[in-house]
Amino acid sequence: MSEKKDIMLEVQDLTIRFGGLVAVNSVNFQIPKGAIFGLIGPNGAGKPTLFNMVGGVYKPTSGKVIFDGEEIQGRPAYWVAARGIARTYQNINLFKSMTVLENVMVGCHSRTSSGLAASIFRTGKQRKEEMAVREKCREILEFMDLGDKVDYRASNLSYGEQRRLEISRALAADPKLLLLDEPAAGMNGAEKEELQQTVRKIADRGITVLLVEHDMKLVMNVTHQICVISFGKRIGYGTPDEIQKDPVVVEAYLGGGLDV
Amino acid sequence: MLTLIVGALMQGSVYGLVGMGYGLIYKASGLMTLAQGDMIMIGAFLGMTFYKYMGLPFGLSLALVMIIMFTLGFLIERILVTSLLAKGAAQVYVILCTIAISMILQNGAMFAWGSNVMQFQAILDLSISIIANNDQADRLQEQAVGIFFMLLLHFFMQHTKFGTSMRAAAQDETAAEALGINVPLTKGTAWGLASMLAGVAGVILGPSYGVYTAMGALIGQKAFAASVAGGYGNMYGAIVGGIFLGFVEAFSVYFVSSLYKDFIAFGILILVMIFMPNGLFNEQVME
Amino acid sequence: MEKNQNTLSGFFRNNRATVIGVLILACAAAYMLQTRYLSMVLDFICIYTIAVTGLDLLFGYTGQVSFGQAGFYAIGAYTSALLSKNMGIPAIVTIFLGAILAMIFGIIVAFPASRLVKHFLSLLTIAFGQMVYTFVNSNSMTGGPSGIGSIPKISIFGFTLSGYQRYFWLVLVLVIATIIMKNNIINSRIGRAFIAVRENPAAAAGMGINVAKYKIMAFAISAFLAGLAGALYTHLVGFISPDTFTKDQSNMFMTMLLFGGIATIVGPMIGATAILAMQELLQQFAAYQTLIYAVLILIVLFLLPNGTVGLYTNVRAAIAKRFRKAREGDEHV
Repeated sequence: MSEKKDIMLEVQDLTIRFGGLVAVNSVNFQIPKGAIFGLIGPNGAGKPTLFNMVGGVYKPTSGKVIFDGEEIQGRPAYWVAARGIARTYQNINLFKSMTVLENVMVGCHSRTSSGLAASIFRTGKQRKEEMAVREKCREILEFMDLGDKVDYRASNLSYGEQRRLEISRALAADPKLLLLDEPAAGMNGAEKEELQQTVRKIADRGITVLLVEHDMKLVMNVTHQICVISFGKRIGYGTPDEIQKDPVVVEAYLGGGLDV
Repeated sequence: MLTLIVGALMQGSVYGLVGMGYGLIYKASGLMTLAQGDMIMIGAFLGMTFYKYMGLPFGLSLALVMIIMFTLGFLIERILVTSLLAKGAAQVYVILCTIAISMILQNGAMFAWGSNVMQFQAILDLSISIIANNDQADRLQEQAVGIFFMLLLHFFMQHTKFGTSMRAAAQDETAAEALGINVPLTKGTAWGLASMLAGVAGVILGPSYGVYTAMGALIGQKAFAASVAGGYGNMYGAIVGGIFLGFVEAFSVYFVSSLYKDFIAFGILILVMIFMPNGLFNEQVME
Repeated sequence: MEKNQNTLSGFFRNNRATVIGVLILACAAAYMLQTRYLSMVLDFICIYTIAVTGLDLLFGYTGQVSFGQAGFYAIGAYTSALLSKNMGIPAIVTIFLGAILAMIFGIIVAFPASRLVKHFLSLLTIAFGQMVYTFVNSNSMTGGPSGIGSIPKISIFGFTLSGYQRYFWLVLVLVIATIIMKNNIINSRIGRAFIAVRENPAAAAGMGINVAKYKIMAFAISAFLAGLAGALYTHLVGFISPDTFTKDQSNMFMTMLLFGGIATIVGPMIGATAILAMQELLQQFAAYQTLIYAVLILIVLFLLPNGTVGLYTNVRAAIAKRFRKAREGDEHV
């Protein structure tokens, strides 16, 4: 039990079937608190599906997702988010017509509590909370180098900035675990370098990170542990060094994909 | 009781006929129209004008109505709906646009034909007065024409090249385009066919319903209910759904009160949408 | 700028547009209150603004369409009429009871609605409106097609609000309260959740927002406001019949909202004023009223996607741009 206390997320025999197709087939892994954990695999391996089961979007057919000692599989996404799992999306899901600051403020939703009546009558408590949220979100945007863009519309940001805004929004929820879904997709070399720094900075804040990523270099550089899946099955598990030497993993990538 | 069942079948097949139009439009373009009911009304007015006032033979009148209604539906899709979508409008705005079209059609009809209820004779030369027996005769004809057009549409969709392209375009627009199918044409045609079906329904309903500007609104909505009940987007489901609704109505008139007929019909529609959003045939509803 | 907020002059400087707007409105209202007819128009503007503001919170902010607002409007109207006339409850209380009943129905409709896709939502709200209409039209309790007459006037502390001028002060207070309420909601955590649900439901859920809950909440508020407006209408006119609560009424609310501009504070007021003014000015064409709505809807859809408010914003931006260009030109010289 004492060992379990240090585990942020544990996935046990997680399986999901769509019709006859087994998309994820009894996958196991454990993410220690404070770690940066990588989930990789060739195209069609079932990474997004696994990710969405952790995030509450899909309900697994069988198996468990244990988050900070609590079983969360099959819970709705908003519930999971409120418990402390924040996420970003592969194909950027910002609230486009809102400003940058407002986007991040939405991220604070589950950490604030003012209800409808408090909002209508602007109670003192509600105003105080609102001020605190504003302050906190500005800080996060500073932290993510978006401090000068607070009043821009989200849709007017550059691609890299939109990715950073998504991370900012997720951070606003004070997550225990942050799920990053292919954050480097579409980024150039310099932006990837920056992202690497950002992920480390986030982990330094004490947030556990689960990273799904295509870019091997990034994953190998930044993560502490990696789980490799292929066709829905786990084929490798270990530190970046171990993974790079694992013949099964190298085989799965046909030798070509793992050049670091 | 037999009368009740026959009546239910007939009313239901009208709902089914119009409901097929909704299914066609949804299949081909993923959209929804709320002007279908007013297409029934326009069809009825046109049919009455050609048949009663201009003295054209019935077959010719019906053919003319079909051509005009097809063109109307086709142009609405090609001109209004397409340009709205090209502006990046959300689907709700297309629905709103069809509401506007529906209002324009109703007002336009009032302008052209006045706001009184008009009567015209049924297709076959049975002496007409609204007596039960003759009413039944009228409705039998409605039934026959309705079934004829359902079969015709079935044949068109399944056994002609154009029907095949339409089904292909509905399934995968990009792939269909790559195969050289003219996707905009198939979409326009779907809207055209839908309004043509409604027009035909108008012509065959005219004699028993009376022709007036608001005649289509309620039938249109109930036909929609029928197509939802049968599985939205499933043309054949619409027929089953229509007959189902016909029975519900007939029996609620018989056992409850004719006043609550519409109330019950819409209540059932709501229940179906909540508990069986995929309809009786488990048709997938696109998000 | 923020430093000035506390001083009075700072307030005026920061809210210049609002202050000028309120002054103009006050002058216009004062002028209109001089005659009975214009006071009536003014009363209606306020009543419709309340209903359309509710629709805006639902459609404009939360992205849920309703073509059945007349149903809630009718529930508020009939409830208030029946309770005040038959049960002797003071009308000032029954208007809120009517609104609350409408809100309860709003929640009942919203439960399934929050799970439906867009097409079905349109249909569900239409069906709901039709059901309410059929019910009041065919029920002896609601007077069937002939409706209910001689509905009591509202009185506050023994002061009866007879006449359009007196009634105005009540609807004015309520319309101001409504607008303040809306403003407070949209600038709060709740309002941000509404907009998030409209913009991207999946991401909203990912941020811990219970999408269904907020959809239901928006429905409840909009139904409450529609019901309140219906009740106010009842006691103003003193007579109601099902004819007022057809789908044309729902479409009128939608036209007002779209014409004024969705997801704005002043849009509903502008829309209600403009459409009502048009109705009154074109009274000899009353038969073509729906045609006028239809044309307005098409104009908004094709030419003014953000309604009148959007037009104002665009024009102002264009003028500002031209001025800036002119100034830059001067500097170059």
